[in-house]
Amino acid sequence: MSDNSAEFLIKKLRIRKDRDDGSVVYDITSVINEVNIYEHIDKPYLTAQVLFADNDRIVERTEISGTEIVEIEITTDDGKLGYTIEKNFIITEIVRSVKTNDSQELVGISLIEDIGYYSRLIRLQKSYNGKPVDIIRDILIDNLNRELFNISGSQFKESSDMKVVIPNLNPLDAANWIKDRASSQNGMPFFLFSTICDDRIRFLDLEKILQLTPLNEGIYDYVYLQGSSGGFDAQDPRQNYIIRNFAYAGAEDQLMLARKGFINSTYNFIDTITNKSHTSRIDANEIFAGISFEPRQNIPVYDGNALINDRKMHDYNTSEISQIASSHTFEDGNYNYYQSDDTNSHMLKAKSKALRYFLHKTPIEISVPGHNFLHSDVNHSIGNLINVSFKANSTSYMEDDGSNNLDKRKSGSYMIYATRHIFQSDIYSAVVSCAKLAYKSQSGAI
Amino acid sequence: MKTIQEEYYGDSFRWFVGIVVSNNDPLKLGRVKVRIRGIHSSNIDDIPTNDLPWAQVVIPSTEGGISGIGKMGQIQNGAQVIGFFADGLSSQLPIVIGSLHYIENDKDVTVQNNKTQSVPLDGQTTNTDVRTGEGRKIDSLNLPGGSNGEKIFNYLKKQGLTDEQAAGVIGNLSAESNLNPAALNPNDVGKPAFGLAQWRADRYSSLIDFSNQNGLDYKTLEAQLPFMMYELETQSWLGYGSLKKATTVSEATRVFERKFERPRPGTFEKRFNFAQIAYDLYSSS
Repeated sequence: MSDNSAEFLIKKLRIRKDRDDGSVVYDITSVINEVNIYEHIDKPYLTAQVLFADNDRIVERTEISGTEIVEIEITTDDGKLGYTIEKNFIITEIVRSVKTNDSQELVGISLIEDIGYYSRLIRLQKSYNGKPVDIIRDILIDNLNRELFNISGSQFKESSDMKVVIPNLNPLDAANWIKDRASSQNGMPFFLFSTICDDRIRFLDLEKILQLTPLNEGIYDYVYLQGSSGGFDAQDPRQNYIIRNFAYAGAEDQLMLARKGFINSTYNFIDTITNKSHTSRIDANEIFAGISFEPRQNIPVYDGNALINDRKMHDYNTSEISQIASSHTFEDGNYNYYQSDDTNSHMLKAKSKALRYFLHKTPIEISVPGHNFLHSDVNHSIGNLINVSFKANSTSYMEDDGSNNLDKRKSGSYMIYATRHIFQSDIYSAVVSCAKLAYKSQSGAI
Repeated sequence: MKTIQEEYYGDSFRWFVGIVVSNNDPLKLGRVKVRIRGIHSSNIDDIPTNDLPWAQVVIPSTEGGISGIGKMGQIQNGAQVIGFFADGLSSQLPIVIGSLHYIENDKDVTVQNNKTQSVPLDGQTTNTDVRTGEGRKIDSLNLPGGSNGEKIFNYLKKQGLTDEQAAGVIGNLSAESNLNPAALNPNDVGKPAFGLAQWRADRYSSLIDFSNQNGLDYKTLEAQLPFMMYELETQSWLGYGSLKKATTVSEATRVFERKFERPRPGTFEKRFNFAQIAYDLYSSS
C-alpha cells in the first residue's frame, strides 16, 4: 500500500433474505451513512452496526425480521490493490429507526458475523478428546465448517490428552470454554478470535504475542498530538500515525485484581478420587519476575515494591480459591477438563487466568486513521502489538536516563485487543483498544 | 460470551437425574457411568459410553467411608439416579447421591403389534431404550423363520448385514453353541459361558443386565440377538466396522471369529463350513 492515498471503502453492502420461495436482495450501498465493524480478541466472531437512510421502503420491502444476511465488501477507493475483503453478517436487530422527513427514515441495524449467528442455533452434547487446539478445531469443523488458524507455537503441557463432554453449549461457547483451559508452557492465556481480514478463526497465546515485532516498529510510533492534522500535509505518511483522541479510563484497579485473587492467593485443586489436594500460592511479583520483557518495555504493570500498611500487596493472602479436580475420570487414561500432571501444571491455569486480567489493568483506547489496520489478507489488527507514544505533560522532571519528554505510563508497546473499524463517507478510521503488561522503560523518539 | 468460572466449588450447583449404564468401575471404587438426561445425548455416536465420566457414588454415613469398613454401593445398570456436578455448570464431574425408583414394567414398556416400545418419561413414544439410554432398538421380537439359523439370518439381514456377513456370524455362533441360546458351558477357562455366542465373565453379566433392563429373558434369541447387536454397535473393538466391510463369507467368518469371539486358534475351518452351509440355505442369491 502506498502511504495514505488508498483509503478503504465499502464497495458493496447488500441485504439478502432467503426464503423457501426464493431470495430477495436489496443493495443499500448508495444509502449507507456509516458502517462500524467490531473485532474483539475474546470473540470468535465479528459484530457490526450499519446506519443507512431508508428512502425507498427498504425495511418494508425486504421484510427485515432478524434473519437477513448482510454481505459487505470492502476495498480501496483507487482499486490499485485489487484486494477486496468480503464478510457475511446476519441482522440481529433493528436498533433504531428515526424519521428524518416525510420520505426518509434513518435506520440503524445490528449485525453479527454469520458464524456467530449460526453457532447460537446449535446446541452441543458431544464428547471430544485431544489437545485443546485439536478439540477446538474439531468443534469448528464439525459444527460450523470453519477453519482454525493455529498461530500459537506453544503446546498443551499436560502429558495426556483431554476428554470432555460439551455440556449443552453452542459451538463457539464450547470452543471458548476449551480455550480457557489451555495455557502455554509458561502459563500464558490463549485467545480465540475472528478478524476482518479473512474467515479463519485464530488461536493464539499471549506468549507468542509478546514476542511479536510491533506493526509500526521502525516506522512511526502512534503519537497523540492535539489538532487532527498535526501539521502534516495530506501526503505525509506520518498523518496515519496521529492519535486523534484517546481514552485512558478504568485503569490501575489493583484492588479488584487483589480481590479476585490475582495478586496473592491460595489455590486448592482437590482430587476426590485420591483424597489429595494440590495446594499452592499465586504471587503477582513472581509471575512478572518470570516474564522476559523487551528492554524498552520492562517495568511490569504490577509494582512489587508498593506498600499498603507497610506490607507489599503480594504479601497479603487475599483469597483462597478451591476447585474440584478429580482424576481417573476415564478408563482410557485421558484427562478430564480439570486434571493436571502435578501442582505446577495446575498453577499454570491460575497464572493464565491472572495474566488475562492483568492485561486490562492499563487499558487505553486510541482513535486513529484506519489506514494501517487493513492490509490485504494479513491480520494487522487484534492480536498484534503497536508502539504508542504520549508526550509528557511537563518537561521539568528529568528521568535517570536523561529523558524528559515522554509519558512512560501511557507510552510503550501495546497489544491490540479490540478494534472498531469505522467507515463513514470516504473516511476510514479506527478506534483501537489496547492493553499491556509492562510500562516503557526508556525514552523513545516522537 | 458465556464463561464458566468458579472460585469456590460449592458456589455453583447443578443437579441431575440420569440412568446408570455401567457399574463396572475399573478402580473398584463403586463408581458408575451415568447417561445424564439433558447433558449426555442418548445418541451413542455423539457420546459413546466409553466417553462418559465415572461418577463417584455417595454412600450412607452409616458406612465407614474408608477402605475395609462398610458396604460398597449396589447401584445396578439401568437404575435411575440423582446427583450433582462437583464442578457446577461445566458438568464434567458427576457425583451420584442416590437412586430414584421408577415403574419398570407397567407404564414404560408397552407391547403393540408384537413390538416392544419404550415410553420415555417425557411421554413421547420411541424405540429407544429409556433406561439404558443407549438408543437400542428392540423391535424384532417376532423373529421370522423356521429354524434358529433362519431366524438369526433374517434378523441380521434386517440389521443391515449382507447375506455373506450374516452367514459368517451364524457360522461362528454355530461353532460356539450349535445355535442354542440356552447352551451353557460351566467351565470355559474357569468361568461359565452362556448362550449363542457363549458370553462369559463381564459380557455374560452384561447380557443378563441388558435383558433385565429390557424386560427380556436372557436365555432367548429375542434377548441375545439385540444384545449381540448392542455389543457390536457400542464396542468398536468387537469388529462391527470390519464385519460391515467384509464381502465374502470367508472374510466375514474370519472377522467375527477374530474380533467378536476370539477363540483358541484352529477353529476357523469349522466355523467357515457352518457359515457356508448357512449361506447356501438362507441366501437369497
